[in-house]
Amino acid sequence: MVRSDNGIQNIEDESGLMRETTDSELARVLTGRAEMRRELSDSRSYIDVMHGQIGDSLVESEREVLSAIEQIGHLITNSTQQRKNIALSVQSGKDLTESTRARVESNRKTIVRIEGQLQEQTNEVRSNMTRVQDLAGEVSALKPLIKTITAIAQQTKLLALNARIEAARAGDAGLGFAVVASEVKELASLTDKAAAEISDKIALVCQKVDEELTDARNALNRHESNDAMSDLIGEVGEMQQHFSKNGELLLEVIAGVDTNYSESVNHLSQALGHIQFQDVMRQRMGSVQEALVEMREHLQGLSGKLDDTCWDGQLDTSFKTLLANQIGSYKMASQSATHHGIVGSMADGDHGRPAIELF
Amino acid sequence: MAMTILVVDDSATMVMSLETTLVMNGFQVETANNGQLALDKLKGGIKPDLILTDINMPVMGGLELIGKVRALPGFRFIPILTLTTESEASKRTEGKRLGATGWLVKPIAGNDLIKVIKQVLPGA
Repeated sequence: MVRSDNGIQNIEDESGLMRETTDSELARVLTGRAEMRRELSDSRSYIDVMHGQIGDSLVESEREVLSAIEQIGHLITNSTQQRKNIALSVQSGKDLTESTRARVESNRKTIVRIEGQLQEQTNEVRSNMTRVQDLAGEVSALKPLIKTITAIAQQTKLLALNARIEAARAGDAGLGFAVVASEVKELASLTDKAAAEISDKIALVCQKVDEELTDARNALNRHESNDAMSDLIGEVGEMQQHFSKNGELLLEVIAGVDTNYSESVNHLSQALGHIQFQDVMRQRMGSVQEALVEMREHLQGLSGKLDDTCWDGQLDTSFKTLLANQIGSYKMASQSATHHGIVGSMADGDHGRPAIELF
Repeated sequence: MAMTILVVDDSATMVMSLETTLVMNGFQVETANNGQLALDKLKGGIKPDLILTDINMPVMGGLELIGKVRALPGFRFIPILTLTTESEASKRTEGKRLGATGWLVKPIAGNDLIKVIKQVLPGA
């Protein structure tokens, strides 16, 4: 701007051409410049506040994320403990089931043994009954002998009577024969008595044998009709099946708990991976904070220059330069992508490698 | 016996989330907030099975840590994975030259991280 003696000055317009201006125009320009300087100066507080907002947000987000991770940690600790408790309970259950199953198996074998012994007893009873039946048959075979003995006794009596008659008829000559006849009579009497006794004894034996036979038959029926032992064996078998099913159920419970725990670990691992966004955001925002400080210092520099009447209009730096410098400060591919997306420039390809690379 | 991983990162959220993830997946974890603290731990007798380190950290960064760890007796072959927001190819190349086993860029899904760790840690 060049001042002339006639109050008309030459100033450079927006297109760089020199044109004449009046004092009033100059005053407006100076006022605007002073206002601009104030504005630039005031931008410090504005930028500092934005810088502080970002900083506090980062601190707050870090605190909250740490709290969330802590909660997840508690959840994991509890889940792990629960898993251990369930595993212990299941193991105790398995041990109990196994010992009970062994006891049931032992009882089943005992019952089978008892059943075998009972079967042997039944066979013995059946054998005894057969023997008693045979004995009864043999005793019954004695009954006809009673008639034979009785008949012999009667014939002997008749023989004795005839002998006495014949002895009497012979007179003295028959005296000796009479003695024989008397002895035969005595014999007949004894035979008759013996026949009666034998008959009674045989009848008694027959009765006793019949009673024994009846008892043996009843005992055999009782043994053969006793199903309790078979039922017991069946029940024990069912118990074994139940225990076997319970064992399988416990194994399913274990497998279910393990599967759920693995899935939980999987999901929580993913969630904790996502939480890394806080660190990514912290670094991106940190970069923005640094840029804000640069912008603040640049604007303050401009403000100072507007106060400097000797300023030749040359800038130490510019927003173009600052923006270009930003590209070199980026550490993340996402930062570069955002930058190039907004300014419409091309990425240099330095960030194109995979996120996971093993050397 | 559980394998031990040394996690090195200046971010509290990273250290805590990585520690939780690794412990949940059956590892033991040691932590340090920068390369120097990690190096002090190693010199103090900690012998991890793997080191998982950030790159950009105050006091001592990850690249310097890798170089110094490789120079320590007994640490020549221990796997060192970087986990960083740094995606610049030259840094990666430098990491490889210094002896890094692999380069992982944040954020990484928990399952992918465990998969990579198991890949470089046979028997884990």
